[in-house]
Amino acid sequence: MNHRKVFDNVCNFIDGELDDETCRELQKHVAACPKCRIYVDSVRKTIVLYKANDKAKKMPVTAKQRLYATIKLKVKKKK
Amino acid sequence: MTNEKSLLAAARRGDERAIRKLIDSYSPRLYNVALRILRNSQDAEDALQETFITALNKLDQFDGRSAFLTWIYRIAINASLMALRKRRSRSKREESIEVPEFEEIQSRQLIDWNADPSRRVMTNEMRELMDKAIDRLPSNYRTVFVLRDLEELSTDEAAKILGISVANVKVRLMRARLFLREALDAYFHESKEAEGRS
Repeated sequence: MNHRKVFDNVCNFIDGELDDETCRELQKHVAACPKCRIYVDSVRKTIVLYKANDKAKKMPVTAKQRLYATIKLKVKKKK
Repeated sequence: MTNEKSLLAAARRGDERAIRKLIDSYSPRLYNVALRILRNSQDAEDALQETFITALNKLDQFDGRSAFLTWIYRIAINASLMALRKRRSRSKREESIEVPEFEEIQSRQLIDWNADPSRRVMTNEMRELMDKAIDRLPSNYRTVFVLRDLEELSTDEAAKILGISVANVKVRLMRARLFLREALDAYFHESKEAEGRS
């Protein structure tokens, strides 16, 4: 395992999509290489932080009213 | 669920109260997935309308093998993707992104983001920066990021919904994550420099 392989496999590693042997090799390299550790860690934290920032937004009341009206019209037409 | 079964049967008959109940139950979740993909409330609202129109028209085809939420959720994603395609065909904007390649990362001085992200108090500045970075992400990359990392679909599911290969999902996801990482990395660099000055 070298720095390049860590870079190429960072997402497969984070997503648990590496085979056991490659995963072990990558872990071993990362444990001994501060730069790769920081890099892998930052990609993992990127996902965690963006997910934490993704709060569900409240749907505007007017949007729901418009939705009711549109659907009502379609249902009537169908009948 | 029996309640849901009878609600769907009533909706199939065109019962307005049942349809209203379906809208009340499912629209918040579906509105949010559309908003994550489209990043615009009006477009998300339009996609939601399309979703319910399609779902009600095809309600006879819902066989109950999957949960109703799974079924209508897929319709909502497809409606959002359709809206994106229309938007893309109108704009001539290049759908590619610049992300640092291996050599560039190697030549940089990387800083440890150290803080436990789940405990870190997110400042408004940080939230704004992340929102802007997602806005800047071209839609073909953003969609993959939204489906995989925010909606937590598997790589296979994302590939099926998007009609692209698993390999392509992986490539786009990696580039999207690296693009979004850059925004945060710049923030942590600045924070560290500011700490050093004070």
